[in-house]
Amino acid sequence: MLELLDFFNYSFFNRAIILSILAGLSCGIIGVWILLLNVPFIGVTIAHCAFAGAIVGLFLGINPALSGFVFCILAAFMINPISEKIKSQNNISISLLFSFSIAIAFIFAGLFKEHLTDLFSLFWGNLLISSSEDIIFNVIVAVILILFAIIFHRGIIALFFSREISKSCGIPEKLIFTLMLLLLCSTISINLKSIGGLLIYSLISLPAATAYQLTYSLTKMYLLSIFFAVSACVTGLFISTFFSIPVGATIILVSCIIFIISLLYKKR
Amino acid sequence: MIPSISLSNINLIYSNKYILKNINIDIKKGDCVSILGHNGAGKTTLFKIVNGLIEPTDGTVRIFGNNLNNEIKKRIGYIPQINTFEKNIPITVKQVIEIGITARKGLFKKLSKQDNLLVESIAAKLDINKLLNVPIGKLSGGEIQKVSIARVLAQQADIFLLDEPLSNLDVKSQKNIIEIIENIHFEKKATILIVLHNFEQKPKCCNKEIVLEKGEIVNYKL
Repeated sequence: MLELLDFFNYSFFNRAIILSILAGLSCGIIGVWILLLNVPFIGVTIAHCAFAGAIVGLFLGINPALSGFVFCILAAFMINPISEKIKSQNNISISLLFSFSIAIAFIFAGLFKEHLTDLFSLFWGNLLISSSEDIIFNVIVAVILILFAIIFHRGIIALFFSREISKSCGIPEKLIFTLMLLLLCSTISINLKSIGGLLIYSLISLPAATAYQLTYSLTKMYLLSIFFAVSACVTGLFISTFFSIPVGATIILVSCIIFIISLLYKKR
Repeated sequence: MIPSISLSNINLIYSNKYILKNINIDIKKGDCVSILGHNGAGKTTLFKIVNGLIEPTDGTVRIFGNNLNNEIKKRIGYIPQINTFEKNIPITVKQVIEIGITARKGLFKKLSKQDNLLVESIAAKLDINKLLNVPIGKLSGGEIQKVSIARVLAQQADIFLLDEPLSNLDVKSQKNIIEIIENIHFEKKATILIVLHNFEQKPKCCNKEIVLEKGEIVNYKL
C-alpha cells in the first residue's frame, strides 16, 4: 500500500493520473455516441487511421498527434465518397480504409531504426511519458466535448433515434454528425501516445457497452460510461505501474473485466 | 390555390433501371391520399423524394410552392415503417416526442412550459401519457406507432407521410391507429399521404388514391 502511495511523489505519475481521468472522460462520452449511432466500424477504422498517421508523423519528424489527426480526418471524410464511387454501402470503403491504414502503419513501423520507445508507445500506449502539453490538449478537448454534448443535446438525441427522420424534418443531422466525427478524431489523436493506437478504440467502446447493459436512461448511460472509462484508466495505471506491465493493455483488460462483471447485473 | 405537394416529371434511375418513372402529382391542402402498390412498386421511394431523403434523377419537387429546404422540411412529418429504426436505445417516449419540437423550433431554443404542456396534451390524446418516461425499447408495435404520430403532431407538421403505419400491428392496434389518423385529418385539416398494402385498411378520410406499379402511376384518382 505504501509503495502505491509513493507513486504520488513523482510528478510524471500525477500527470498520468490527471491524463487518465481526462482520457476516460472524453472516451466515455465519445463511446456513447459511437454505440448509439451504431457506427462501430467507422470508429474503429478512424482509430486505426489515426494510428497509421501518428506512425508516419513520427517517422517524418512531425508531431504524431497532429499527423494522426490529419489521417483520421481524411479517413472520416473519405468513407462516403469511396462508397459512392464503388456504388456500395459504407462497409466496403471502411474495410478498405482499415486495411490500408494497418498496412501503412506496419510498413512505416518496419522502417524505424531509432525512437523505438516512442514507436512502441503508439502501439500500446504509455501514460507515464505524458507531458503538461498533453494535459492541456486533453482539457481543451474534454471541455469542447462536454459543451457540445450539452448544447447539441436535443439534436444528438434526434440522431440517436434516427438520422433519417432527423434529416427528413430539417434537423441538420449532417452538421451534427460531422462535428461528432471531428471530436472523435480529436479525442483519438491526442490519446494515441498515452493509450496506444491499437487500444484506444477499446477504451471508447467497452465502457459505453458496459453502461448500455445497465441502464435505459441516456443521462445515466453517459455518467456510467464516463465512470467506467475513468475507473479503468486509473486502476489500469496503478496496476501497470505496480507490476511494470504495459499501461494501455492493462487499462483495456480492466475495461474487459468491468464489462464481464456488468453482464451479471444487466437490465437488458 | 398552391398545392401542398407538387411533383413534376419525377424520374429516379438507379443502375440503369427506372425506380420511379414520369411521376406527376399535385396534392391539395387537406387531401388524404392512400398510396397502394405491391412490394417494390416505389411507394417508400416516392415518400423519400417528397421529404428530400432521396434526390430524383430529374424532375421537381415543390412543397407549398417552394423548393425543399430545411425550413420547408419542418412542415413535413415523416413516419417510416416501424422496423426502420433502432428501438432498443436509452431514449424515453417524451424525448422522442420532443424531437418534433426540436425540428420545429431549432436545436438551440429551450423547451418552454407551453412545449411541455403540448407534449403532455398530445400524449393524453393518443393515450400514451402514462408511457412518457418509459424507454421506447419497452413499447409494443402499436405504442411505437402512436409515439411516432405524437412526434409529428409535436412538430405541428402540415403534411403527414405515413409509410405502412398498420404493418406488424394486431387488429385492435390497427383500428386504433386508423381512428387517430381520421381524427388528425378532421381536426387539423392536414394533408395526409398514407402507404397501404391492403386497400381494405384505408381510413375513411382518404378521398384520393394513387396506385403504383413498377415505379409508374397506373391508377390515379385525385
